[in-house]
Amino acid sequence: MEDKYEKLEKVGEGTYGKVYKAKDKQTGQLVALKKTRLEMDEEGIPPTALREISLLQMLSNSIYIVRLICVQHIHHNGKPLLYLVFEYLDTDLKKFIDSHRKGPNPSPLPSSQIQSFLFQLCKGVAHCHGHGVLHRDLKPQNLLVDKEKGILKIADLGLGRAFTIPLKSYTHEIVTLWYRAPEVLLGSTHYSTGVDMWSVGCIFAEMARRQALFPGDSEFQQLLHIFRLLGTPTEEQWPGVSSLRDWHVYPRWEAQNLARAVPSLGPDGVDLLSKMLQYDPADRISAKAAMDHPYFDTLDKSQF
Amino acid sequence: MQQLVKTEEQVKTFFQKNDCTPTSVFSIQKPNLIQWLSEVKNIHSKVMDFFFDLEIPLTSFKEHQSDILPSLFADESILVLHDFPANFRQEALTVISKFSEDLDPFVTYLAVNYMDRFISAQKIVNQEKPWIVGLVAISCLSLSAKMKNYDLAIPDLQGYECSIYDAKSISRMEVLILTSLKWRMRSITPFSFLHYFLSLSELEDPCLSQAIKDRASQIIFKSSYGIKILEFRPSAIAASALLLASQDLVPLQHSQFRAAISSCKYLKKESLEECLGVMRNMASDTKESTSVIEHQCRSSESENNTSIKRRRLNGILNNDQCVI
Repeated sequence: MEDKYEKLEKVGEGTYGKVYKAKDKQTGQLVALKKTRLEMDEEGIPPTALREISLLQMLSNSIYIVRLICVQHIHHNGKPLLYLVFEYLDTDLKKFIDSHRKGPNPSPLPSSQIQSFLFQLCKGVAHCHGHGVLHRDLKPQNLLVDKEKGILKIADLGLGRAFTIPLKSYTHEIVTLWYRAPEVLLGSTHYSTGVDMWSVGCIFAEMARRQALFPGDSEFQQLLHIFRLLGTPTEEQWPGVSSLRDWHVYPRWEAQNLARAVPSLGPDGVDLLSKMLQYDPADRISAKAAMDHPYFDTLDKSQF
Repeated sequence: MQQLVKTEEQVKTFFQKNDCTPTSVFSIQKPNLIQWLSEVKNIHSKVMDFFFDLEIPLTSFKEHQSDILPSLFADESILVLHDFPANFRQEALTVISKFSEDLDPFVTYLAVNYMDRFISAQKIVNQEKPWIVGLVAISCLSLSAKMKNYDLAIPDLQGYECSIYDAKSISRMEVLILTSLKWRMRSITPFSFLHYFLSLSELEDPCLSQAIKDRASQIIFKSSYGIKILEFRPSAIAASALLLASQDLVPLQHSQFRAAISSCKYLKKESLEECLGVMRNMASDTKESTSVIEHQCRSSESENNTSIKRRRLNGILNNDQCVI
């Protein structure tokens, strides 16, 4: 490993391990190295690791998914370890949004930029869903951005399935709940592609607002944030909601005008957002259908 | 998703109702064998559906078909058959078939797929040492079982009387195979295309569609042991198998189905005809075939399931796999 790549700096603590920016010594190509904690045992490659990594391999043929370049199997202090080598992108959507909010010249994200990023995100999500894969932890930190080319790619895919949705990362840092769908927060175990579309909606709103739409700091607070804006869900709106495992009796809030939460979005944008934030997962728009929404009519789709 | 779960439950119920497992199925008496085998094949195809997302994109999701299909056809590939070590393959198939009798046929199928890709990529030659053949075959089975979430622990696979197949060796061979195949273990197989081609048939009766799919799956399993089939793309194999199945099961609709499949823009017509010919020959030439199913027939006729494990080990030892 050390022969092939030169570690440049630690760029983050992914949910599943440290991530390093590194350089391929031969080609000079920049890569992101992810050490997985999936250690080999008597039974050889753990089945979950095998299935997850081959899944990443399969999905990474889309340009809207961060590409898995190779898998390195190495021995470290006598222990076999797996390193995943990904293509390197210089920033992520969280940093990108922050730079527009906090930088020397704060300014909203151009609406054409939001439109383009959202379209690419939907395209990547549709690719995953088309292959029968849920991401389950979409958030701005997991969306890598190439500022020069204006490209957005989904990262941190797959490994989630081996561990279920984590409450805490391995560093015991609390995993953010801000993008989590209400059915997951309410303890539903039968969730589907809708969980990702809810996250896409939250990310869409965050690009327009430059701050999170539902910044809850506990599962309960998270639900209250959602209910205060969208109204407390009713059985009519979302059949079966009151039978979900973690459902309690909540204060009855009325739905607010969504447009006021995202003042910079036009009517088409608000309409698309409201379709992504439908309570009943069955009513939530799919990634594929979202790509055909009138909000994208002014986008030149041929470039994607 | 719901439907898939239901399918698994159906399989479970079937097992409970009939108080049988695939292993005990094979221990029953000869007269019922054919009937039992067809039942077993039905179960296997259901199990296969349930785990479908492990091998391939879910092309059965209608909404995504238009997106996924072109890339599926674009990504499928055939092996480089120049200098292909046919003898090595034949010997490895013998080892795999020894273990395959009580396995989901899809696990076996995937193992053969990995092995073919591995020996093609690694430029393995016929003159490899016999124990390497065994190790490659067993490691491919171990990997395919893991991919299919099939409980097949390495201790089951290793001949413990034969030190060369210890867990460490199998583990190292697994890594070698994974590296060689670039971790592309979700192979595009003919099964990836069955649903799509079947949807072209416009058969309205779901039971009939299922029956054709089951028959086609059997034909694909059976053909996988033949070396000639490696010359064809998975899509051509799938289309040919479905056409053969429809010829048997729905002869009246066959020509319409054939026309629909032939007009598929992704398929090369000449290749389809050629593949159909090869598969037809395989199906008729029972002598040459050493398919899994037949191997299962043979072993269940002569032995009962209590001796399976023993026989497996003996099989390995008797077959000179451990002579170094």
